[in-house]
Amino acid sequence: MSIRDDERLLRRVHIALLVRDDDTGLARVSSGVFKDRELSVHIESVLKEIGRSAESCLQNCNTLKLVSITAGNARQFNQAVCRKPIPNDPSHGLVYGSKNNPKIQNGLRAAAIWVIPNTAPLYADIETEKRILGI
Amino acid sequence: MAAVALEYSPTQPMYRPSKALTDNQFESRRETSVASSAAFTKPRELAFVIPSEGRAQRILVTLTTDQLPTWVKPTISAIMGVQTLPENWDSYGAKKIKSDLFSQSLSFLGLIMDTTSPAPSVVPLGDGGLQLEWHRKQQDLEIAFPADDTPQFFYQNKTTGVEQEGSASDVANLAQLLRNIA
Repeated sequence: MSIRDDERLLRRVHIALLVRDDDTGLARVSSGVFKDRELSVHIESVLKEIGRSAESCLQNCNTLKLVSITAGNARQFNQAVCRKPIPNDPSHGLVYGSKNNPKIQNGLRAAAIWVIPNTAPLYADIETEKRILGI
Repeated sequence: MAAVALEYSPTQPMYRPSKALTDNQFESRRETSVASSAAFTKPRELAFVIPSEGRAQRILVTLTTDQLPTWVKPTISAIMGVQTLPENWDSYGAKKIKSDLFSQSLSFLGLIMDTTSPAPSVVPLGDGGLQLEWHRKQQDLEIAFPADDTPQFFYQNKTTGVEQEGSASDVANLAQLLRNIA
């Protein structure tokens, strides 16, 4: 079954990958989130089919946040999107393709929207979390 | 031009828990004063001893100005923080950060940063590399130290539309981009 362009692909983000935007005071996702040639994601529609929530993607881990891009965003940057179910995760998919070009990494980063939390957090709050975790 | 030269090396094992930097972990060694004008031009050395995973990491900062640049402490603290990340830290199989990249990136910063340069965000990469980032004044500058490749940079100015990318070998250019962002 093909994956529609508007399909949301969820990606976990460790707080070490959140950086400060000095212009807004908010945390932003580093382009480093989008460097993997085979970028693992959760396909949101499959999550819903199996009755799982977006929160379940975080594996109860307090160092992780969640962002999404669409399959159309990925294809815009010459990436392929495919289903790749793994044991215990039918929603697993891949955004596959070379991401060596920083324009691709930053393009995907700019397209990413916050899921958990649902808006960009203040970087001061992320800094506090990092300090507590010793990162 | 940069006012610091940075040197990093692991030292004897010691038994302290890894934690974020505090002022108690800094020590300063000053040259003995001498009756000569050479004393006023001789560089001052600062040694930062950072406990990390049961070992003492020693970072030697050589200054040619009177004051420690404000970016040094937070940058060293951030680098030490990402050093503590274990295998699979990102839940997608990310590797531990390669230890030689700490000295490489610090030394590189010593070449391009001024005393007033803003401290970078320090980001671990999934391949075991490290990335330094600045996002301010509608400009983005990233310097990536991949685990198995040469350092690369990316710059964009959202106001003018100017973009640059490529090898980070042109330190003069990077120093200028940093002055634009500062």
